[in-house]
Amino acid sequence: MITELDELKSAWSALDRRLIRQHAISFAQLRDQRLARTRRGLRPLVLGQIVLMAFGVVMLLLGVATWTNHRGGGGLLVAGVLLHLFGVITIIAGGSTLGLVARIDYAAPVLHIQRQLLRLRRWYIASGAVVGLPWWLLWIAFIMCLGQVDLWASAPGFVLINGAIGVVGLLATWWLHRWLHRPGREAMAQRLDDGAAGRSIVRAQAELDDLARFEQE
Amino acid sequence: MSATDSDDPFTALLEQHLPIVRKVAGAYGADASDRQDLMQEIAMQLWKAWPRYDRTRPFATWMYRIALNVGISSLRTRMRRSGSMRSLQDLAVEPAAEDARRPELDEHLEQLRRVIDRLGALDRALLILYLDDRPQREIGEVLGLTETNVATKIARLKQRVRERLEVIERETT
Repeated sequence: MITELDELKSAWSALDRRLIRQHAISFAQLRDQRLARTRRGLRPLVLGQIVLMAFGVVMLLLGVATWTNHRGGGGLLVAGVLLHLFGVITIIAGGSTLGLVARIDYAAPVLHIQRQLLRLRRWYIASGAVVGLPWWLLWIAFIMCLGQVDLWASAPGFVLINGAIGVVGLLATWWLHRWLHRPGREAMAQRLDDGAAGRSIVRAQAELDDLARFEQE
Repeated sequence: MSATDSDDPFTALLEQHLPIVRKVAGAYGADASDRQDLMQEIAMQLWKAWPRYDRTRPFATWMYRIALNVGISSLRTRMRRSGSMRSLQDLAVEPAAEDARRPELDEHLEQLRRVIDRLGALDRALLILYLDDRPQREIGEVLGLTETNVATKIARLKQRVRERLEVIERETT
């Protein structure tokens, strides 16, 4: 039992080591908590990608069913092949996103996880564009396959007008994207990117940003 | 002096003397989150005061003065709000490897914690400087006291700590 102030000196010199350890334990707890939240936060994204892949399978089956029944040529062959291709692309996009989510190494340093999440975000935005933008035109092929009607033969005007609208829409989207990414519009572009990245990824990034800040403190 | 000129020496000195900041925050903060806040506040106040730091004077003395002022004012605020002067409430963690062979250390750290808890804000500052083996002249500079006054206050502190250790011993047995 200590009875004098001077005898507390050895405990005082050990205090710093204990505080460092305590800080490390606090950080480890915070890290576990935040990473569990990050992982949980990505679940809606995983679910979304499974639904997307299922949608891709439906498109693929509809496309295959259409072009195999109209091998002779015409609008339905083209529409079927387009839908088949779109289905494959959609399945690949969803599968790759799921692959990137699965590859996130939660045991790695925070900076590494942040990089993996950034890669996932970029991929998700790009694949979203690949899967979403074709619908400016693809919807024509889709209704042709769904109704098994060759609109190119029966109503070429409808296909041409709506095809032209689709091309204009595609060009307008491309122009808007470029306009938003010009200097001075960073905040607006960031909001658009955040919207395209989806809430799951944005939330997961925020959790990791907090963790990285605590680590640097 | 440009910002770049002053940034690096400040960061290097802060890192070099981080145990001072950590221990002051330990003696005045209630728990890990309180300590973290105090460490940040101390670092911020040091940064603010850095342009006025006289490079001919020892950095540690200057740092103690600022860190202890932040600690004292934080303890007083906490006292006003919650009436609590307790510190190091979460210190009972598994010891580091080099301390594991000293089983008595846990008991000593607990005694230290209880001694600190029973001291007022200014006595804590004196205790920190004394336990850190700072010379009386430097303690005087940090606390704004004469050397003779420091010697008297240390003698009184030793007496108070002795009495408190006796009380702690009675409470324990």
